Amino acid sequence: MNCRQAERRLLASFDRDLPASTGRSLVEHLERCPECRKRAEEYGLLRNRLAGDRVPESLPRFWERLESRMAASASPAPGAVLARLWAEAIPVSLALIAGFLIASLFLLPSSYRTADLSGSQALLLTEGNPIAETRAIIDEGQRDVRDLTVLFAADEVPPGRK
Amino acid sequence: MDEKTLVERSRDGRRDAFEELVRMYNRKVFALAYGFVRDRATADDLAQEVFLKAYQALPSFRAESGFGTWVYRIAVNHIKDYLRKSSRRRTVSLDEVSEGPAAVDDGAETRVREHDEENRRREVFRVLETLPPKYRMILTLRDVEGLPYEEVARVLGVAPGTVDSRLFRARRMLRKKMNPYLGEKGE
Repeated sequence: MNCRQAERRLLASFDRDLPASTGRSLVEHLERCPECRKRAEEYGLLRNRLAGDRVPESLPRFWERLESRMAASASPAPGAVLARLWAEAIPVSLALIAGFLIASLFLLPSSYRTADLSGSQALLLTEGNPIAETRAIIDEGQRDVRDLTVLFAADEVPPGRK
Repeated sequence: MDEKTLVERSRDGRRDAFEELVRMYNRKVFALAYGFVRDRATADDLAQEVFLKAYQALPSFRAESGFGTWVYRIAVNHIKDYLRKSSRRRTVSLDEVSEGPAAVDDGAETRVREHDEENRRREVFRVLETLPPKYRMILTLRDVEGLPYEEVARVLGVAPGTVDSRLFRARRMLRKKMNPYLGEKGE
């Protein structure tokens, strides 16, 4: 144990019990190091003086004086009541906002949700299958109908880009 | 009646319950304030203000910590504010001024010794006042008031590890500043 460790452990021993082995090495260090021994004595002295502070009594009639000040300041301050209400209102408001957002996702008609979407986004949201739709066009027996369908599909522009 | 019940009743506006709580913690809060201002009247006034604040803030007290810890926290913050606002140096009242030992008579030696010891104690507190507020605060709570280590952490709202390192630095700083006086005869 070096001097710095000894100082740290000595001060820690003021607040809690040190493990036995640490305590032993601290004592051994203090026995052979006059500098740390002097330091330990000084710390002890300061600690005793701080702890031995003589505190006078508070002035007489503490409660009676306090009570009159309480009466002058009326009942618990409205500010404190408001602060408490405000602290309780924050989580409630957040829960309401979150609930509203979730509800709007699930309860609004799907047309509202897909109105401004591109074809791909709309397919994704409605879980449509583009391959199946393409297959239906290819499988169309009449050539004229198939060509027209492909033509109209190519011409289709998402509403947001108009 | 336990503390929790007293707090509940105080919140319901029962003055007698709050009076009981004040009587339980008045001495501690006063001693804490006195440790900083070293003046009886000022410490008394600070203690009154702390309890007044506590009374006004009772509706927001959530009883997550004990009432004592909560009041102590209010006291610490209030005293910090006071010290910040009054950047004045400590004023020494007339009855605190050292006049030297009284005339020598029977038992005079004891009185001289006591007088010297009291002066040395005052010197420690005078130096304590020159420490940065956070070190001064932690030394006052732990070494002057003797609050348990864990309670200090709760009152200051810091982790026990922080209490550990801050106490170490505070004690070392105090010893270094006291060094010129510690070598005096009679130490």
